[in-house]
Amino acid sequence: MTVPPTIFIVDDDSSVRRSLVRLVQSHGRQVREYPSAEAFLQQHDPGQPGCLVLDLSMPGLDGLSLQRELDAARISLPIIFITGHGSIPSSVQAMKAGAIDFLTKPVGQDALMRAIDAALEKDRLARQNHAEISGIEARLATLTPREREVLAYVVAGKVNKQIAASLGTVEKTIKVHRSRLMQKLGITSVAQLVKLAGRVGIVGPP
Amino acid sequence: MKPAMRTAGAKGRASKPQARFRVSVCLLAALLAGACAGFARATETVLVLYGERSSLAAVAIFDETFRAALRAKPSFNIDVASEFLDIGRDPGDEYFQLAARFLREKYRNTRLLAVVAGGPMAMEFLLQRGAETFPQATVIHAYVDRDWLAGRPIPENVIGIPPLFDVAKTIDVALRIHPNARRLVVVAGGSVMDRHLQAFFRRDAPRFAGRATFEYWDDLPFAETLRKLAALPADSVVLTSSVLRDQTGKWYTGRESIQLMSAVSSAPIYGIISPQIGYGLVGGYMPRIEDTGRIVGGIVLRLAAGEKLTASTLIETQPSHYIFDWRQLQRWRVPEHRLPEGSVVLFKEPSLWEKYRWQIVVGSALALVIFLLCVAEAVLIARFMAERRKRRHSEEELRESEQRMSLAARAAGLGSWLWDLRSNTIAVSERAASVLGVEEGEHIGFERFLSMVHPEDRRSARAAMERLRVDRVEFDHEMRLLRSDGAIRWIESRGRAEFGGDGQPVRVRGVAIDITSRKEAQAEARRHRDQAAHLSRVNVLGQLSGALAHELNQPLSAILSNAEAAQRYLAQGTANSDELREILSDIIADDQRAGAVIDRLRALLKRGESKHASLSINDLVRDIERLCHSDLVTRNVRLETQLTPDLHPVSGDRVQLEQVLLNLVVNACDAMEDSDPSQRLITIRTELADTGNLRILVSDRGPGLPPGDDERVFEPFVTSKAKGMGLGLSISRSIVAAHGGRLWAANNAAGGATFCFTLPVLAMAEAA
Repeated sequence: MTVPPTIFIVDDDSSVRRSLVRLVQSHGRQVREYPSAEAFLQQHDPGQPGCLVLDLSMPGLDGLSLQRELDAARISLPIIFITGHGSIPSSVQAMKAGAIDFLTKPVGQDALMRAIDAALEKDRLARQNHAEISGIEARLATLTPREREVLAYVVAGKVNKQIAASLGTVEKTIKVHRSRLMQKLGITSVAQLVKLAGRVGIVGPP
Repeated sequence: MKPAMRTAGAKGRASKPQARFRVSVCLLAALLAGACAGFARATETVLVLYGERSSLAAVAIFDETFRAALRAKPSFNIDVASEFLDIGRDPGDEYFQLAARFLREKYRNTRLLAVVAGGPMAMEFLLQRGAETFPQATVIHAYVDRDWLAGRPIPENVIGIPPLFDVAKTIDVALRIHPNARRLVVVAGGSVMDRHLQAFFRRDAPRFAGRATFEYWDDLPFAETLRKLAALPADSVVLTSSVLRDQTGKWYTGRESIQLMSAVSSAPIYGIISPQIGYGLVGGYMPRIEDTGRIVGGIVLRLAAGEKLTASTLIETQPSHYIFDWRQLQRWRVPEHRLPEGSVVLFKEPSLWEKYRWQIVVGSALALVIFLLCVAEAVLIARFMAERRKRRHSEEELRESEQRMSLAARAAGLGSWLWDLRSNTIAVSERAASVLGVEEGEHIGFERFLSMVHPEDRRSARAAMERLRVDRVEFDHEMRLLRSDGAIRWIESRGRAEFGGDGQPVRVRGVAIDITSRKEAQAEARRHRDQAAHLSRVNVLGQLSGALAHELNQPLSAILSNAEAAQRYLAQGTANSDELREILSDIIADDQRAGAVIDRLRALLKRGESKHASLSINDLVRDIERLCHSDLVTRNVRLETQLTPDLHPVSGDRVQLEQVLLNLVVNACDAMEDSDPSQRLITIRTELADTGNLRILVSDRGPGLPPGDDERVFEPFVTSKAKGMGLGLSISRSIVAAHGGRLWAANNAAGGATFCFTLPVLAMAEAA
């Protein structure tokens, strides 16, 4: 993680927004502010790690609607809701949809920073996971179709002889495929291969 | 004191003559006792046995009227004891036995004149257990109907004048009031009483076979009854004696169940139990418990007087009445002429406007009377002047003038005065003197007279009187007098100048009348309106309370975050003074913002007299926009304003006009509750209506008003909202009218409704 995370603050009330920006900045965090959900959607770069501090009730697109939009766009930015008068139904709805926390104004800095830390940690893990999977998928993409087939049989626990029989070839050919694919994936043991395959959901031959 | 009197009265005269002295003391005591009590008697007790709980309304009404009836003969010395069996819930025979034993022991040594059976359940108890509980006592039944008694063997010692539930009359009157009703729904519960009363409807239903169909909702879960009531079609009428116990076994008081039913029912409800009137029944033909109390009281007094009464000597039936609730008649739009003759209409209250109109009528009538009297007096004065030209002393003239005044003038409280312009003194008649608090005939210097006028009215009074001298016009002026005892009296004074041979005015002659009570009545009417307006305002603000809390929360939240940020910068030593200065000025701004919210709230919540000032209507609209901001956001409603710039100011009470706008905006929001969020738009427009008036229009995109109902929404207590009082619009209309404007509503061509009001611009208002 080389890019520092950013806290995105969305609130239509400019004085509340400014005060939150200041407070989060005073904790040494990088902050970007938006006066509306629409403005955030327009300018947001999904590659930027961070979390969203979102006012629940705003004119136009409100907090819960933005949460739904992000969800539909498969942007998994963690969200902390803040609200002037939290109703139980709206907080339940927000939490069910995966919000990190639901804070009632006036928001104390301890609660806010705790929630932000939790949200950033969640985002970091998600991005790390995402990066690992992307790496594996990139390496898998370098395999030939035949090597992928062999990979599936190895993951399923078949020995070379069985694989050769299934694919209608000789054991020696399988051996060659096998060592080449291990090389391409940069691993040295079957155990590592199985673990890697598990991360991307390969469990056996189709 | 009482025991002593009893000894003297009952035994004193019968005791054997002893020492003469003692006899005379006894006689004296007897005389005194007789003088005090008329005819001294031993205390006798009437025990009222209620079948119900003490908290029931019927119990309280009976108790009050019964005791009042007994007070008609205080000398009878009757004590009333009450017991509440609470056996409406059918507790079983064992409970009857226990209750009988308890009562027998408790009243063993009490002299019982009679036992009153309060209601059928108590009667049931006494029929079963009376003989063993109160041997030989006379039992008077109260509010036990003739049909209940008819089914049971009644011993000779059980007497009374029973009511009769003639429910056919209730059904008939309901059908006459609602000629389009085709469907009669009889709602009943499952308790013994419920079933007893419901049977009357079943019994009499066949008589209405051709006119309507009957449907019986017996013993449903109450929630289901309520659901079904809410869904009744327009041609229905509900008949009920209330639901005391529903199918799930839950108990209700009669009033309670009627209240719940009336709140949801889409059809009018008629009943037969009088204490339920006022709780949602439209009305019905019913015996009144007040009558029962009086009747039983009368029977007790007859017994106390020694009359022998038995079941066969008392054969009358308690009369019933047609009773209606005026508010319910309004709710169902029943014109009063449809009610049978002799109907009792309860809860009829004149609207604020009716009250106010009356004040105006009385005011104008008084003004007319004063005017006529002035004319009459002018004639009298003229004749008098011709006769008495030579008279020197104005006070004498006055006295005679007043003597000649008609009786009517005296009755109206008119006093007369004479202002001699040469000596600049005023002489007053007896009546005027008493108003002024001076001696009759006293010459009061003009300046001294002015000093009696209330300081605030002094300048205008002087101006009016001076003008009279110069312009030779008639004088008609209202002013306040501040009397030496501090009391303020309003007077209306009229006068006319008289001129000497040189054409110069020499004196002014006039009459004055004390109009304090009229002024007070007007002030009272204004106070009533202000109070009602305040209540309605509090109600509207209550609906906005969540949004207002949000309005306060925003600046508080910003203040907290700013302060915490500043603390951190200082703690880290990274504070720079520019940043801190900015934070502090933000905190101050937010504090002022919170203060402004509170000020606005306080102004709206404040109870007080209306105060007129010059106002910009566009500012008012912007104020309301700010006040409603959070509520609108929460409810997903957009508010657009189209404000014509540079409109003339209006004269008005800021708080009350804001209330009108607030009401219209909140109503518009409510109207669009079920609309698609993209359609929820309120438009407020201000414009010049014509040369003298501004127009303010509040439009919504809701379903609009039901056809033909654009006036009905302004009637008091007409509401479509579950929590509303139905007063908002009627009060808004009275506020606008008090400002010289008009408020009405109409549907938009493109859907939704527009509420529109006018206000006269300031220059016109002042001229008026």
